[in-house]
Formats: sequence, structure tokens, C-alpha cells
Amino acid sequence: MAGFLLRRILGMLIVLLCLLAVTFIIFYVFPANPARDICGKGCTAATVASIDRQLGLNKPLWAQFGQYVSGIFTGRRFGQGSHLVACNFPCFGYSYQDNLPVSTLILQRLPVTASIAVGAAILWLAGGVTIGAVAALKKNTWVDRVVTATSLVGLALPVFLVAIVLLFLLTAKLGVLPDPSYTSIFVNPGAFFTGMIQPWIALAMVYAAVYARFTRAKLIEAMGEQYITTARAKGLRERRTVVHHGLRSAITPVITILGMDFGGLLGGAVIVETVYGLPGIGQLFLQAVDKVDIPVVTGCTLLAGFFVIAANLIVDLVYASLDPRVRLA
Amino acid sequence: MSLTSLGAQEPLDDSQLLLLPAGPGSQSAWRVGWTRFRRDPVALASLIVIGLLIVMAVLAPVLTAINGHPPDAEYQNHLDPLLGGLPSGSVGGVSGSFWFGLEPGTGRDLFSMIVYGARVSLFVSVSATIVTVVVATLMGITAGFFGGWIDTIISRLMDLLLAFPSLIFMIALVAVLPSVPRLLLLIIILSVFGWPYLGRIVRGETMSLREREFVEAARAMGAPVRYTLLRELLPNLLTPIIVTSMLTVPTYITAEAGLSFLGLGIEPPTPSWGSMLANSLNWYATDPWYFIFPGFFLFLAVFSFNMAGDGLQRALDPRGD
Repeated sequence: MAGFLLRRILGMLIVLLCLLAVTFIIFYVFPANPARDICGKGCTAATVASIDRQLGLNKPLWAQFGQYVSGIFTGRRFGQGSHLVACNFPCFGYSYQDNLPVSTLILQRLPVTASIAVGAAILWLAGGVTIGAVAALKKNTWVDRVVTATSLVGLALPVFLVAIVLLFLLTAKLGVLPDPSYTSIFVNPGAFFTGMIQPWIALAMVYAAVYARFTRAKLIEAMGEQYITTARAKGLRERRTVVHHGLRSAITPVITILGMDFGGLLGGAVIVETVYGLPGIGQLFLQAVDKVDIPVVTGCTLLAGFFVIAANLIVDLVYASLDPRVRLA
Repeated sequence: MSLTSLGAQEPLDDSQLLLLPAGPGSQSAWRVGWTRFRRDPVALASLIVIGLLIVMAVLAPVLTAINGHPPDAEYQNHLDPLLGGLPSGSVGGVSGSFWFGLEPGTGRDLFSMIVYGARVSLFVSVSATIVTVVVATLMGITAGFFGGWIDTIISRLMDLLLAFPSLIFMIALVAVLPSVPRLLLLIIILSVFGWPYLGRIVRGETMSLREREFVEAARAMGAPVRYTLLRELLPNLLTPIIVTSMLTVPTYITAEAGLSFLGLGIEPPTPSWGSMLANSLNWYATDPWYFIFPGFFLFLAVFSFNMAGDGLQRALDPRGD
């Protein structure tokens, strides 16, 4: 297990380094004048020159990259004159437009995005697996057909379309839910849930359809295995057979796609936050794209990449602990 | 003799395989597939819908000439200023002249906008799919056939691209490359992040085909590599390539609509379904028809490509019924 763990972490670090390199090239080498872009609109020549100096843009590329990577781990100093700011670990850069380190900006927005992502994931996992399991156990009945047809429709519904339809139905037409907004769960749990339920459903819809189809297929496969017949033959109650023997083996591959989907959820969050006007990392990212605030764009991109890579690593580890064959491969 | 009469579930032994008149990729296997596809009502209906959508996109200038409303013409006199620019009349201003009503605020003809939006959506998604298929096939075959360090490099590249948060990167790239024409940029970005999915499938299939007797025979007879790749391997890879590309189109349609929705797709005033849906956010409570029409067409396009792709998969799978 230790060797496996080491190999995986090493692999993750290599991918992370590639991600850093690609991101660095895109944002610091492609633009003709990075300092100008980083500084933003309405910025003086003196500031541009000072950014040029601070980022070492006159140095060779590899030196710039080294400085950029080591800055993430050891921190850097940004700003000018009396406005010198320390950007501590993890330093993803400094927004000259907001005059704040990128990590501070991201941390401010993190609770909103995390609430959207975690809530949606719980909803689609519970919903998708339950619906898929029911369909598998009622295979070829009308229940199964309804689930299959509904999930095919769900698969073809983009997140933003579901979100608008929900807004129209639940907020405008029926008036059962308020316009979605973020309230901290610690301040007012009731407002937190009523404000978040629409973003959760909108994001969870497509994923739940995928998970329902996947769980259905895997459970049907598992229920045909000989160990299920054995379990039944030794007189195990059907419920226990399904939950402990069937579903348990069917759920392992579901964990794999959960990890990957959860890692990529920041992309979905951008859309949901846009529809509902929620002040999360997705909004921060889009506003930064709009203002060409390159350090923030870079920081958010790296964060998203880090999520995907970390999620893959976690999936590998969970998988290895569930299935010994993986460790030996 | 049809493949079905052989008893699909039973594994064939070698002597039976010799009796098969046609392997996958030959003329009659395609005919079997087409016969099965035709008998699948959902798949056939989806194919017809796709055909209609393509005709609609291609004939967009003709269709808007028939109803007499260019997509950028504003019919402000059909809007109600007392209601803040909502179309006059019910159902978003649907009438004999404005088949899908009008865009609130500007008074553009929704039918014309949707027809032109179909152009953008289908052009981007189909072009990107073609690029994807070419790149994925080349890379996948090369990696799978030659193996060794070539395979290692291509496989790592695919892993790396798959590990990237593609939507976030697409948005970021649009931001740093403002000088590249948006249509071209969309096609490139979608293909760059999309090809590894098909590339992996092609690589895997190639690796298993490489070990089969007919490829070995070709090599033993001294066939050049090019011949082996094009005449022996490629025909056998067509089924997974066709099925996967059919299922790639809808993911690109969704991605294009998503980027347009975020204001990063094709630039206005060129209409696109995604940007129409983004604008409809300002009107969803007062004029739901403004999101219902583009939303329905977006759903229809994605749904029918999904269904047709699934149908193709069933029809071309030799293990099917």
C-alpha cells in the first residue's frame, strides 16, 4: 500500500507541475505585454514598470517560472511603496485591480461555492443511486421504463436551462421558493436551505441522470453474479442481499465517477452562480475574465486543476482500500 | 445469413468464425446495422429530427426570407412600452407573422434568431467533432499500433488533458486570446479538450486488434505499415469512431451553448441559443416564451443526437439482438 501511495502522489505532483507550466505559458507567455494585462484597465506606466520588475518579466522564462512556482509555496511580496503586501502560502498571485492577494479573494468566496458543490453532490449521489437501484430491482417493469426515459431527458438538459426553468416555476409562477441567495448555514440554516435548493437541483439534475443509469447497469450486473445466488441460497434476507452484496459491489465504480465529477464541479458552479447571481468563486473567475485580471484568472484556473487532480488521487486511494487488486496493478 | 441466426449470446469458436461471411467493417455488417437501426423507432425519429435541424440551419437565409424577418431587424412597434418592452399579445407575441414571437426589449423575430442560432450551434459542434475525430484517430492509432515510448507520450498527454478542468480552461483561453476569431477559437478549444475521450477508445481498440490474426497475417506477408493501418485496422475502428463522434456532437452543442450563455461564445448580434437563454434571465418571470423556444431547440438537438448515437451503438454492436 505504501508503494502504491507513493507512486500515486508522485504521479499527482507531475500532473500538477504540468498544469502549472501550461497555466504559466497561457497567461504569462501568450500575452504580448503581461504586465500591462495584469495591471488592468486605467493603470499608469509607473505601475506597469513596477509589476514588470516584481514579476521579473525581464528575466529568462525558466527563471520566471521558477519564481512563480516557488512563490506559491513560500509566498512573495507585491505592491509598491507604502502599499507593499505580503502574499503568503499559498500565493497564487496578487490582484492589482482589487489590491488583494488572489488567495484572499478566493477564500472570501469559497463558502458559497463549497456549499453549492457539496449540497449538489449529496443530492445527486443520494438521488441517482437510489433511483438507479430501484430501477435495477424493478427491471423491465413500468418503474424501470419511467426511470430510464426520465434519465434520458435529464441527460439532455443543460444546467443553465434547468436553472432558468426552476426559477420560472418555483420562484416566479408558484412562489414556493425565494430568489436563490447565499446565507451562511451557521447564521440561518433555514434561509441557507431555501436559498440553495434551486442551485443544488439545477446542478444535480444532469449528474443524477448519469448516476441513475450507471447504478442501474452496475446493480443489474452485480445481481446476476454467483455470490448473490449463494447469498440467497443460504437464506439471507433479500434486503440484506441487495444492500450488502449487490449494491456494495455496484457502488465502487460509482465512487470513481463521483471523484472526477466533484473535481470538475467548479465549471458547473460558474454557470449556476451566473444564473442565480451567487457570489462564489465562479463569479470571481468570470468577473476577472471580464476585467482581464490575469492573476485572479490564473489562480482560479490552478485551483480548478488542483481540485480535479486531488479528487482523482482520493478516488484512487478509496478504490485501493476497497479493492485489493488495484494496489497490485 | 444474418448475424442474429448464429445465437448472439453464445461465444463463437474458431470454426464458426470462419463461416461468417463478413467481419465488422465489411459491406454486409453495415447493412445489418442499418436494418437494425431502421427497426429502432426512437433512433430513426432522432435521425429525422437531426436531419430537419440541419436543413433548418442550412436554409436559414431562405427561411427568414419566407417570413420576411432578418434576424437583426428590430420590430419595436410590436412591443408594448407600457410593459417595459414586452411583446404585445399573448404567448410572447406569437402570430402569423412572428411564428415564435419576439425578443422582449429589442423586438427581434425569435424564429429567425433560433434558425440562425441553429447555424452557430451545429456548425461549431459538427466542425469541432470532425477535428476531434481526425486528431483522436491519428493519435489513438499511432499510440496503439506502435506502442513503446510513442504510446507513453500520447497516453500521458491524453491523461493530462483529461485531468484539466476543461470549462474553466476554455473560459480562460477565450479571455487571453481575444484576437483569434471567436468561431475558430471555439472549434479549436472544444477539440483540444475533447479528443482524448475518443483517442483513448481508438488506442485501446487498436491495441487489441494489433494482436489479431489478420493483422499478423498482413504483417507476415510484408504489407507496408501504411497499408496495415489504413486497410486492416481503420475499417475495424469505424464502428467505435462513428458511435463516439455521434455522441460527441451533443456534448459540444451543450459546451458551445454554455460558453455563449456566459458571454464567451459567438459575439452578438449574431444570435446563438446560449446567449438568448442568458438574456432571457432578465425576462423569465414576465415572458417565459423567450426561454422556452431556444431552450426547447437546445434540448431537442442534444436529445436527438444522444438518442441517435445510442441507437447506432445498439445497431452496430454485433453482440446485439
